[in-house]
Amino acid sequence: MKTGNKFSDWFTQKYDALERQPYGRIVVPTVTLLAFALIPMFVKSNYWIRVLDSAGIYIMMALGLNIILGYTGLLNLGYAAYYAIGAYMWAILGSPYFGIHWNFWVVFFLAGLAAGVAGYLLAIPGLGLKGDYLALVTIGFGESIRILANNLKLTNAAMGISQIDPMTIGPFKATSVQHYYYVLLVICVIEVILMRRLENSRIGHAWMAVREDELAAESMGLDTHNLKLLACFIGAIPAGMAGVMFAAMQTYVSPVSFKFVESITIVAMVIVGGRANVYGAVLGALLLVVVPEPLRGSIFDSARILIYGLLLIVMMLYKPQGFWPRRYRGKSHVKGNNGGLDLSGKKISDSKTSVGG
Amino acid sequence: MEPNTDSPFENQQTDQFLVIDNVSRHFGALKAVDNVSFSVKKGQIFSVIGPNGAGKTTLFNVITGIYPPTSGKVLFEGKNLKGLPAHQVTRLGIARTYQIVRLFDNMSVLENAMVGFYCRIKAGVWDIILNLPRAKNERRLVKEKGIELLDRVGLLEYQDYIAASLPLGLRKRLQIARALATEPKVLLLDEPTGGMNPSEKVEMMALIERLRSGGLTILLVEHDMNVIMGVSDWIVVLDYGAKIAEGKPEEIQTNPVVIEAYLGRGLENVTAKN
Repeated sequence: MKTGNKFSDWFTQKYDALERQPYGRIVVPTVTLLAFALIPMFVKSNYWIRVLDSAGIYIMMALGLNIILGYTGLLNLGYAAYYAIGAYMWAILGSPYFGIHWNFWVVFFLAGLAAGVAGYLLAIPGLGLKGDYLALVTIGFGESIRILANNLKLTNAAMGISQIDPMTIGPFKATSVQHYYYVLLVICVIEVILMRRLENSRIGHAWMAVREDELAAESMGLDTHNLKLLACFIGAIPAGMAGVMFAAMQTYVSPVSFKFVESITIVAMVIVGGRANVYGAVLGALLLVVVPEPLRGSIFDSARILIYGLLLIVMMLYKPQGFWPRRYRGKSHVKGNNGGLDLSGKKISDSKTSVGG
Repeated sequence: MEPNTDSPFENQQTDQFLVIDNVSRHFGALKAVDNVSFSVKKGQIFSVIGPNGAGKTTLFNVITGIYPPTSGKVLFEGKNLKGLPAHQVTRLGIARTYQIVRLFDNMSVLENAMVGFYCRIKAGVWDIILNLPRAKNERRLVKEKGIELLDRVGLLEYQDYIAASLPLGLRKRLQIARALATEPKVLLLDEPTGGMNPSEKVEMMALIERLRSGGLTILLVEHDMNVIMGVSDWIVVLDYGAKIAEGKPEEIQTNPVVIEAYLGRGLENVTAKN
């Protein structure tokens, strides 16, 4: 783990240095984007593109949960519920099950809104609770949405809804995994841009202030309750949209896809990737979808969740900030042995070269 | 607030700046603050002192809206603060610091200062997401103001550092800077020199004086008598939640009730035995 730490420090340091260059802000994202855009030219296997499609859907969600968990620090363990809401909305409004065939993008945004409203409504009673208790409420919410889907006629109970319409853009119908890949790439890029704007705004900073010290944030004149409600609202929106993409891509939706494990996976993505950093969440989602993929079918496949659990424990012990967290200069000494009380001013200037974490 | 013409007392009070009117705060049977009244004039350095557990911090928490008073009221520029949540009290112009420094540890020093300004700007979610001029201008303005503020309190060179890396003296200064960013009319300082060495204390006293000459009213809780007697215009003494004395520093120093509260009545016993 020590070498892993070193690598992550080295990587983030290099990246930060690059970003500080005037061209870095343009060159780095452009090159990354081009690389992703070219992947389907070189990767001919539909199987792997499908894996990346699925990664795209998880990136959408990890970016959303990053707002709730990463910035605002609210542990939501029922995030898959919002995903389910989106998926079932497209399954119901775009399939022969009820014979309704709405426009894909109308439902896409409606599902985002519905998930956001669900996040907001759950937050109203939930935010009266702190920490672990809020986590429990969200687990309950996540499970109750799944169990509802498992029992309602509306969602065709455990059998799920099949023959769901694919994504359409005007007259164009998405038929291959490559089509989904490019659309997901565009969506993810837009989402990254919007999330970056939020991150560096008064609202992003205020969310982080709430996470760091709610009472102090309140004393700064911030309406912490409203900020948390807003985080729960905005943070849930991408999950609803991701659900619509998922339903269209799979053409089949059933309650099995929205188990508690899904929520845990998304939490793991945010934590492994790096809390409160947009790129960290993207990285976490990519890692946790792509890396375990070769294990599929092997003896380790059924141990996937066990491995996530181990990974989370190891991260918490050795790198609680995640692989690619939000970075600042100076080492944090507060959680160290002396509570930062014995530091002289000299030490600060000494730590100029180190990267915090 | 509705002007209450029936009571001349009310009108008289609205002339005052910050009025603590018969405020009590009880926790069960414990009377943490018990019928305390005093009034702070604009531009004063007003100190609240008392032995440990006298209710000073509780009083601060009541004034800043963290707890509502059990009875009585706090009037600020004629407005009753009763029932207002803490963030609205801050927006009215009452900022505070905490005895145990509460920074946003995992944010940069500059971001800490910038957070203080956020209650005074207006960009909403749409402005930010669409990167409209309002969001852009405010972001630039807040950053400029944050840098200017850090410069004023001598923290500019640390602006990019994580707040958790600062030593205590600088943490206390950043906490004050952050409170100043909310553009307060009154600043409540809860033991600003606690844990500081003598030279840091002198610097802090100078900073407090400077803030006052900049037009700020300061309400101070402090244990260090040199600091209190050095900077205060007026002192209120609390003991067991109740006000036992009030006056100028020189009056308080010689007040027998105050001396008794701090040192006890032991001296008489000792002399009697001898």
